[in-house]
Amino acid sequence: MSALGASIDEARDHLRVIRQTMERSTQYSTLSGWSGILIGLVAIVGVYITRSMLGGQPVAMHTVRDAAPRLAMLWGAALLLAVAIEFLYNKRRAARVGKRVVSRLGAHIILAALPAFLAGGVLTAFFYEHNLVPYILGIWMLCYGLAIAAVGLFSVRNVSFLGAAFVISGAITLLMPLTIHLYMMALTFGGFHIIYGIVMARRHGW
Amino acid sequence: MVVQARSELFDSVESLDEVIHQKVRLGIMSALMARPEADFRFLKETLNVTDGNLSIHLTKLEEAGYIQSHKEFVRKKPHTTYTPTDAGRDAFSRYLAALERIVQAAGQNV
Repeated sequence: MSALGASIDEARDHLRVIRQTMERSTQYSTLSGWSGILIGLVAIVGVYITRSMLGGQPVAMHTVRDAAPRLAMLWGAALLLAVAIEFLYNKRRAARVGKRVVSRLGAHIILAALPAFLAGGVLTAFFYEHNLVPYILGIWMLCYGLAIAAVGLFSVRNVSFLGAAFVISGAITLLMPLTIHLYMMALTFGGFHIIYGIVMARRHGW
Repeated sequence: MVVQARSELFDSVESLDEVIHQKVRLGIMSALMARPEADFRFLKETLNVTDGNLSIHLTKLEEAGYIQSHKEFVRKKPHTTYTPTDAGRDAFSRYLAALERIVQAAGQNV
């Protein structure tokens, strides 16, 4: 290859480095501390409402069966709210540095997380059909953890740690008595997100 | 036209800023263009380089006047953040323009 050809290839390569690094820097910086904390609070409110729907009773086969459709709507709404919070904070922070919120890297991240979320949806439907709804909470932690761990491959180590924490917690939850499961939801979806948000904010700014 | 394109291509290659024209330094400048400031840890994680390697290139950019560092103590630990200077921003813009000229000239059947 001629020296000129090498320079052309190098120029293309350096343009790629610029694009990827700027995307990564923006994506990284849009993992806002505030969004983590708000999402954690949404989860804690969801747990509180779940307890109210169960009449203050612990999670058990008979207490959850009748409330299952309302619980599905509640946690579906919580998931949508969490996604909306994350999207809006991403959009705000991306705009601050003159970037778009949807980028090639963002698309890769969504594709990486999608299989685990789909698996969670399928398992939710399966557990509902087979009257195993109370056990779904641990499965949600596992699937969410796998999704976050996949996102962590495109991001910083803290995200991978968060994913691992959810996976381990989900496995532990499934081995624990049903009465503990709802509190594990508060600890993981609530507490882990809040802690993550505070750590990210202190380390990288609000 | 081909001769002119080759001439422009050579000129653009020759005009590439030697300070920025290195992958780690280019990565540092790119990261600092995307966010108002970055600390050492962020740059290290984003660029996936060792402490020593990153330090060398940050020093080179600082000596060239393209970035400036701000040192402070956070909970008794040293914490350094980096921001691009106006000269650094201008140099990066010129470098980016030169790269784009090279790729465009290459597309004109050189």
